[in-house]
Amino acid sequence: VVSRDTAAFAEFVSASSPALHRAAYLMVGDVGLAQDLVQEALTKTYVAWPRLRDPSRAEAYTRKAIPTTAIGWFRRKRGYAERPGAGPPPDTAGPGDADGVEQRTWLWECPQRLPVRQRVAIVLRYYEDLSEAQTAAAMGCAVGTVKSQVAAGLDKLRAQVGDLVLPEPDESDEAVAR
Amino acid sequence: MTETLKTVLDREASSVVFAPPDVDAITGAGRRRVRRRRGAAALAGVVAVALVGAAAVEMGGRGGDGRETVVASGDGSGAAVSWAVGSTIHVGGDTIEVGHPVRAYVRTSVGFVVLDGADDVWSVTEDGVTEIGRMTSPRPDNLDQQLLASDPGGSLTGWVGEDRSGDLIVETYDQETGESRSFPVPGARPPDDSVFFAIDDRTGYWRTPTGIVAVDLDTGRERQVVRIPDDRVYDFEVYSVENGVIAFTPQSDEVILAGRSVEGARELVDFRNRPSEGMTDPVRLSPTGAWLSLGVAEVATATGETSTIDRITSEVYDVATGERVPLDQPAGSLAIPGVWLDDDTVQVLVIHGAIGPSLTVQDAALHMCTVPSGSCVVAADLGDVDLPSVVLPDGRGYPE
Repeated sequence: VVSRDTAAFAEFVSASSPALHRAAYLMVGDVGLAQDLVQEALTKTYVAWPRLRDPSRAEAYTRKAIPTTAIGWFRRKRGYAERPGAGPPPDTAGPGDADGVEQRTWLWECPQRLPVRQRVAIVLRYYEDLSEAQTAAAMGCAVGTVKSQVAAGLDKLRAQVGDLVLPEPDESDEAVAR
Repeated sequence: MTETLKTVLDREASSVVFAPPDVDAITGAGRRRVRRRRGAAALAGVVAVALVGAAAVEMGGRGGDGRETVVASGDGSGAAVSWAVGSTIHVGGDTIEVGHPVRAYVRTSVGFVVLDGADDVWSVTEDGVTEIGRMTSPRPDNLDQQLLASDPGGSLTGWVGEDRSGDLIVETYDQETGESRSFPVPGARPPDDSVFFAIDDRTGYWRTPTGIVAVDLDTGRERQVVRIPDDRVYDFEVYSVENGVIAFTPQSDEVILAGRSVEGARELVDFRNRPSEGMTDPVRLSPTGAWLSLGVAEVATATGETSTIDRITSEVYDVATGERVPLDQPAGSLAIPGVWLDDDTVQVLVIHGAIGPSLTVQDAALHMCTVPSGSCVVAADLGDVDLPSVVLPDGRGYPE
């Protein structure tokens, strides 16, 4: 006899799922996998629903469940580590500026070639605008680990994308603080 | 090219249309997980027999019932099977009349500690039966709250109570000295949780709103075992602590680890790779912390409000290596491990019968299984006992 208000949960799912899907998609780079990831995170949230009570806590819980679940999936199923487009790094120069569509595709594929922890850390830091401490809490790791994962990920991106404007870790910290 | 990383991510994330989540599928899967745990836990609560292995019972039992049983040796090398029905605790071939309905109980080096139907806690020793406190009332969504803790090799017991203002407090009682103590749990009020998980020697382990603490029950000195973010603290559960080894889950029973620290613990069981299975209480370490035992329930069907557990097996793991030790479980039976009799012998309840929403028992027996050989022998034959009326010494106060 567990108190779970299904109507309230459904309302929460409806309100939060678009943003959850977007973040999950950026972390895993695949629409179907992102939907599975959100489904799993929401299932965990539903199990925890009676003790979360406050919808804001529920959203925070789900947002944390997504990266930890994603990292766990990739760790256990190494096949996932080979993302679409994985393979030899592209030429640093990339496609020509004239080909906009091809360039955007290529830019999107670059982060997807990163190891999952680096990718998740970068999405949380620069898409979700979380601080290093918040990112560490979401990933279930130390702040130092976040720093090293983000730095390594940005280094690899720089090597791939050339003059794509990438944030300096310290700069973005200040931006987040502001 | 002057695009920023943020722009790239924003644009890509916004370019995809996602199907809305299937709420019915999510809630269905969630209910199955909840039921798997709670159904298995409740089942284990009525059928699991925990044996504790230090001292003999010398409390003037009223004589045996003629069944063949293993009687406590009194030298610490073995233990007697114990279980309770009504207000009577059965210990090997002896019985002890407590005088109050036994809803949960644990064993200590001195005697037993009993929780009755009114949430009162009683000390049962050769000196008699004494009321020693009151446990916080049960809540329907929290099976763990009503839990008696003890170290079978020591004289301390503990539970979560409430002070006069309704704040949750941890209470302890030493059956050797008769001393009671209480420890505040700042910020914990019903329905927020504070769960008294375990006593290892003279150190208590419980949950606070910020994590898990280990408290020296003599000095009150507190050590933070692990600090946990507010929204995750309920997912972390300590199953057992023995000889400094802690067995726990950081994630709602999905993964079970054990080690001398949370950070350095070894992953022993991962139910994320076993989608139709879940753990059953009790999960217990052997006295030296070398072995971990647990029951594993297989959920065959879970529809509507009904779930069926088809099979329960006992699993034992070597904490040092992570290797599973096979136990010699009779074919077609359900086998639920209890606690440890000594360093390498675990008690297992073996049932033949039908299991599900209604439990039909053809026969039940208590086995003693030795590791690492995995060999098992019958310790006590319970026959066609009415299992729901049987209370076993895992300390859990299951709802009536």
